[in-house]
Amino acid sequence: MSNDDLDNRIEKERPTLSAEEKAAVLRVIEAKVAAPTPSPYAAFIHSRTKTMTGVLVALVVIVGTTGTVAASNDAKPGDLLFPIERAAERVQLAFAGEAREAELRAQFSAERLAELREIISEETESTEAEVAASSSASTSASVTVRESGEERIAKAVTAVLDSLEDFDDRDIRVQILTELQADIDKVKIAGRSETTTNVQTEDNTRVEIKDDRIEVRDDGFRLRIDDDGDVRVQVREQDAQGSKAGVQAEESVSTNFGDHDDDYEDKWEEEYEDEDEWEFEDEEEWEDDDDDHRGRDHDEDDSDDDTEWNGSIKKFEVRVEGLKAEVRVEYGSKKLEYNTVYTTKAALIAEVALRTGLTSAELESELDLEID
Amino acid sequence: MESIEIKALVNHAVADTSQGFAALYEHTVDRVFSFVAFRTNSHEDAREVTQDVFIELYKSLPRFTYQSDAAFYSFLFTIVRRQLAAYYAKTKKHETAELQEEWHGSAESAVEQNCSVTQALETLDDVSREIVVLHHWSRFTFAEIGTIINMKESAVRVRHHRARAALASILNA
Repeated sequence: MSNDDLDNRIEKERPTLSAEEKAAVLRVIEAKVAAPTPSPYAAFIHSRTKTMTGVLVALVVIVGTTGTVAASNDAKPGDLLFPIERAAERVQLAFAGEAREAELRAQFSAERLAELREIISEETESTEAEVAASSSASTSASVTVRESGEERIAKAVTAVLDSLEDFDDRDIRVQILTELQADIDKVKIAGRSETTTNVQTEDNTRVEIKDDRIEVRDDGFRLRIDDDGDVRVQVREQDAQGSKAGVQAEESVSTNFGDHDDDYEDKWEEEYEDEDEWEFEDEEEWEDDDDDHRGRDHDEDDSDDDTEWNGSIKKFEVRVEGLKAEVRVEYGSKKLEYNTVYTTKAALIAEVALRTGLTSAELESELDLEID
Repeated sequence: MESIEIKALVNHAVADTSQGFAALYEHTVDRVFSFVAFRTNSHEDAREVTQDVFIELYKSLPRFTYQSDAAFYSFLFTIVRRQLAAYYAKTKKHETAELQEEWHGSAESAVEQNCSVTQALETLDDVSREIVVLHHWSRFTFAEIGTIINMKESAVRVRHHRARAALASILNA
């Protein structure tokens, strides 16, 4: 066999693709590289989660609520595992459909509320054990908690309020807030009967517990629950710098449970909407507690302190008769009348300020003093 | 002449994969298929492996810089070998001998119309067989084969010469 013959024979058996086959293969290749099928896991990771932690939590949740996540379900605000519980809940929310999401949010809010109650009862028990004698004398339904429990309670309150964020169902929102108020109403801090309680929680949320109301606020959120059944919520969205110019959306939700005039709510909203600053009459106290935070966006002009309720005081009359004084204050749609033993101007104003939440300065400017 | 062509094709494909890749495919698909067909069980399998090779090439091209034709073919045949290995793993044909046995007895093989050359090839050692296939079916020069299988060109020539002699004697018998 010659070399050429051999070459021809080898050539004859050369495996080849027909032109059609080549074109078909090219089409398949182009289709595959143009629209690569991503791994289903990769798709899952990219679309659903932002952080590795999220992925891990999601996996644990998917595999089954075991171990840490299950344990964290019992965690209460302030506990080490509490953030994991929250993360697990967020994952559940991310996977839930719309209807299920609302259901879950309600469930989580209820859990937060239950946790708050647990914390209150935990702190109460120990207090009662310590001061059994004095508390047994108390006939009111209120519970006295240890001073050290105050922060835990404040955190729990914040957690309840956090759980209501992005929560559209107004009825449930109102219900939770009402219950929250009822719970907080019962709480008395040991050794502090008439004082205001200011708590600064980790995330700049301040919780203020007073005899007649509780106020919670942070940079973008403000809630006030009054003892007469008013729940007022104001939500602000601010840009990263927290500047006022960056206010993008402001939404006020006012809920009136009591038997107040309807215009009360409107009034409140007006006042708050027009406000540049969120200030309370005892802003000075905040300042002492926390200069840094405050300087940021709450208070750029201190002189403004006394303007919050300005104009809302309709009447502030005091009639002093001998050793007693009769006080009549009308502000907003509220009316306050009482007799007191304080007869000096400063003491009267201080007392009214404490009872109404109005500032001393504005009270003083409105004071109509009558001495018999 | 061809060198310029491959260089242009590769650079075009790297710069503009959507346009340039088809041209590069047209130019190289026969070489790949001929080589792959000899190593797979059926024409269909060969088509599929060829397809996978070019998908891999498409993905790898952005990382490739043209230096020489031989370097490109070496790059291409690294992919071919990898895809063949994946194919063997999939069809559980790790051993070439086993593969050949199966292939040999298989009626499915599209390249067995006239098995004599193929049968004769099987009597050769792996390297010689590969050199013959690369040279005759995939149309590579000895220099290119040297780069692809990592051998000196002279050694490839010697091996090829001996392989031809062996094939001739078998086919004449």
